[in-house]
Amino acid sequence: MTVDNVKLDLNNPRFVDLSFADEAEMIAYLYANADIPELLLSILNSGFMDFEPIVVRRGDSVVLEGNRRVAALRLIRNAALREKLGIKLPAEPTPAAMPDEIRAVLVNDAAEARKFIGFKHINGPQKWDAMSKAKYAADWHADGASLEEISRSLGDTFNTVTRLVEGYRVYKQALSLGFDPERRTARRFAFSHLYTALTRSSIKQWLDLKDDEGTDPVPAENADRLQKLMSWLYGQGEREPAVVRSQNPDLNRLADVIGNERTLEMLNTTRNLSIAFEELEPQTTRLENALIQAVRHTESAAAIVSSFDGRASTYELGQRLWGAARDLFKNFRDKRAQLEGLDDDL
Amino acid sequence: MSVVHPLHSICPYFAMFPPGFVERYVLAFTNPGDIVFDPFSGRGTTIFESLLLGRQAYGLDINPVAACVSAAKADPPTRAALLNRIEALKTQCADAGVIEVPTSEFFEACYAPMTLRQLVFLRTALQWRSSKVDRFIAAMALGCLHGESHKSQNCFSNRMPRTISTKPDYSVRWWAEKELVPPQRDVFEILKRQVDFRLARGVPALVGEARIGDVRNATKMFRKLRGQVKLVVTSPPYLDTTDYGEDQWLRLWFLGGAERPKGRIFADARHGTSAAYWTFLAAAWNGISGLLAPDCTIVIRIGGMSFAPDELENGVLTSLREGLGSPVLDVIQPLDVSEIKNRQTNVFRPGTKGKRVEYDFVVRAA
Repeated sequence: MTVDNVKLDLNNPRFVDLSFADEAEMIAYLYANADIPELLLSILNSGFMDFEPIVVRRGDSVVLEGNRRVAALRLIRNAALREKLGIKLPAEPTPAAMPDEIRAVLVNDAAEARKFIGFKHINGPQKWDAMSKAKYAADWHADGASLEEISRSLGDTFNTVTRLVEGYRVYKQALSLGFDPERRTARRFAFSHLYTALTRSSIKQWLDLKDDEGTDPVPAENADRLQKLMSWLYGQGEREPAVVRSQNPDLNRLADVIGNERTLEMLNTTRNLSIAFEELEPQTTRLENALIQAVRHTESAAAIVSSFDGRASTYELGQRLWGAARDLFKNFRDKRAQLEGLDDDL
Repeated sequence: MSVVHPLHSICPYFAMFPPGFVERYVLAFTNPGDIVFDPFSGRGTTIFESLLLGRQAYGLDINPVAACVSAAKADPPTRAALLNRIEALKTQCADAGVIEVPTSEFFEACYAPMTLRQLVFLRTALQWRSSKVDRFIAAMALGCLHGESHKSQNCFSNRMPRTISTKPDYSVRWWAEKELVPPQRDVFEILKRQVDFRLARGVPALVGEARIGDVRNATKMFRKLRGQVKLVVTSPPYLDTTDYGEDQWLRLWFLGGAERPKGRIFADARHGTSAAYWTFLAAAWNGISGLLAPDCTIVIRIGGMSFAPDELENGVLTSLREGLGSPVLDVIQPLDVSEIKNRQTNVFRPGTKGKRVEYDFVVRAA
């Protein structure tokens, strides 16, 4: 196909929730977000390696696969476009970098191209992020393919595809409810937090997540819960910072906290996951953990006791530790005597 | 428990307890400088955590993989020594000419050709039994030898669990079904990165010791510790749960073993009947009895789906009384029961339920 006759795919699954008015807008976006400068440099230095055909839809010549490569070639071949977008090439174009034609596979529709594109991006060398993967699977599913068929075609497990599609549907619902990914406080948008959270039974139950694909996954009466979950996972502006920083242990903790009415309430009021989670621990465990830390620190101090220089505050701290430990132990002894006394009575 | 030291996880091992478990008992029952012992050292958690807490620590294990990893953690070399040795090995490997590699379907599907060549070279070159630098390199290599390579750049193999090696025929079938191919991995470069990561938080000031050996010979093997061990924290092999010879077969190969799994390499790794199991445990406690200080505390974590709780309790306490020659035991803490979660084998071998519950015994010879 000639490079100038193909059209970029303005609805490419790589761009979740983005639509472009024209090719120039899409090329500008790709340049800023999809490593086009590196690709330009590579093509300009080494020439265009036509090692893999692009995939083009028969009829309207829309590029279903290979948009980055076509965008890069457009920029190299079209000085006016570069000027319009304010982009400078990293090196002088050579004839080898400006092919008129590139190899293409023609397909009738997106469905025909799907298996090829999906396999390459999902399991092959050029991986999409989880969100693009989810959008791809969800769109395919919405076009009528079963999850079994999609998972078989893509070589992914049925469970993975199900989780991705469900996560994407919930994400779309959250967007419609006003969740704004741009206002997140987390550095990057980790989609895996959401689709993993949705596998936890406590969170599923709390949201009353529905499997019925005809409706929104989260019932309307729980819309505020979904908004809260998104805000805890990703943050929404400075006043609502994310409480989940990592999948492990934060996400597990969030699931545990949501599963308990008292700690959920505490998270709602304090927006502090650690404080809420600590409440889940039995008091006996908290007591023992506090003692372990106390002994640890006391031993660390004892190991460098020779550095004591007579300073009054250090001396007082030592005395305070001695008093606190004595009182604590006296309490233990009294309580134990009391418990043993009770045993005798039985 | 504070942040877990990166050396703890150098080589994840089947049936391991967390460092926090050791920390709790070491701080409760010993003073700094006291001696802690683990006769079934496994991946060396007791030894390493005790050293981190300023206690002396010793142990042994009959499985070479466990002994190698435990000993590496007990006495880690310096970063410079490790990096120099890895660089020298890399050069030697490059200059080695033809290296005979295993030709079985398993090895071809498990490792990329360059990776396999490097591993086979290291398998012969590393003097892990006699050199502490080589032992540490071997332990790092064991930890990277197999794992979920689609998730980690540090695994040498095609996709496998990290804690156990799946059987060759099963693995080959599984990879073929999923159309999985081995990743291109440079063993030496990964090992260099591992050195930086594992030693990033320093090493304990104290040096410990772990040896290969049978628990029944423990007193003979550690004569210098006679009557001095203040705390034992250990987890004996569970009844009929695992056979280290089978489940660690690939790591055993790397340490010089056979190219295919061999069950029952260690006669006592698996016991078919509970009577044989309790007899073995009694002999094990007898093997360490000479090492124990009069007020030594013994902490045992043991699992038992095959046992009713009271049968398990009775079995452990009876084996201790017999083995230690101490008719009276002070059970200083009631049994703690914990559920075993997230068993990795279930992902790769569905249906391997194993033991679901573990019990902690804390006793002292009265």
